[in-house]
Amino acid sequence: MPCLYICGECGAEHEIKPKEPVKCKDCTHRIMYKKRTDKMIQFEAR
Amino acid sequence: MSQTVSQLTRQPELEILEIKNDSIIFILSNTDISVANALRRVMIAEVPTMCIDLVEFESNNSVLCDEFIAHRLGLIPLVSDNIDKFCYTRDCSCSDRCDQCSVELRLNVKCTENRPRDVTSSDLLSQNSAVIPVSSQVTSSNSEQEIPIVKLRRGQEIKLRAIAKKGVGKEHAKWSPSCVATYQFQPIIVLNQNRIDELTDQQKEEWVGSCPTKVYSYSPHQSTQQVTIEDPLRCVYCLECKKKAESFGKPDLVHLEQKQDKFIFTVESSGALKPEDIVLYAIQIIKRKLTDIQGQMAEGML
Repeated sequence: MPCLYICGECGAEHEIKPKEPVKCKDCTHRIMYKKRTDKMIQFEAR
Repeated sequence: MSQTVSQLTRQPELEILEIKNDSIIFILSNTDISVANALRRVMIAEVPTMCIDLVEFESNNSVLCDEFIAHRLGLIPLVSDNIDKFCYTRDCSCSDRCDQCSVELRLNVKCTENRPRDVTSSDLLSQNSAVIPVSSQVTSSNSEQEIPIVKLRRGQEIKLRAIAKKGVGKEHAKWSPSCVATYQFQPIIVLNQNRIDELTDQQKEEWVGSCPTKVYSYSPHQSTQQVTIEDPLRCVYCLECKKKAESFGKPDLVHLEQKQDKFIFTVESSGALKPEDIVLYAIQIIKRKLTDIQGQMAEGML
């Protein structure tokens, strides 16, 4: 499953592979955010 | 030994002074501090209630992170009047969880308006109509009682499944049914009116004002001009009045004493249980613990 990241500048989604530079392919912005998982997440309420 | 056991045992007495929706005041007498303190500690830490313990998030793009919301959900008191019908998940015969040991609640809110949407405890929908957030009870359905969970902006959404389980306060304070559970000794305050009459009006006022909790009252404009005890239960035994009396050179102006065999209990409920039920459950739990010891002792002596 590809790991998608969201650009902090233009909002585009890109896949970043291991050893690739962390960089947006559209706007060269270097801050990328990881997407939230679609899976259910469980927490203890304490 | 000339005394028999029945002569040595005392019959503790309980006198209820006041019962409100969320609090009870009663006097426990004819017993020891150890018993009073045991009762207090059991009411805080060992009376079981239901509380959200697991939260499964499907989506959450609100400003608060998942664990923050999970913690807030855990602290919401749930009505636990039929707590006896539930068993602890660890004791239950089911493998994971079932209706006998847990209750599922759902929260599914999306903000579609332009103004912020308050998500409160009333948005929590329970699968079991008896175990609901305290604020959703029919008797108190005003919006002031709702417990805020999170605020949503347009487009933000929160969707989760919360699992409430039975537990006790000593595992986590969220399961404690009582907000306040305290006892105080009955104060005995005796004023020496002869000594008070020796004081000037200004001294009287000064002496009455020395009490930080305003146990005494005095107004120079009253016809009687008497220093009276307004409410002895307010006394916190700080002995400020005693020190003041000594500074006037009259150490016998007031006599203060704690009556060590009468305990005035104040118990406030979080809403999970009725205050009187907290006391009754606590007594039941203490009794069960004692019978357990008795049984174990008898077994050990065989």
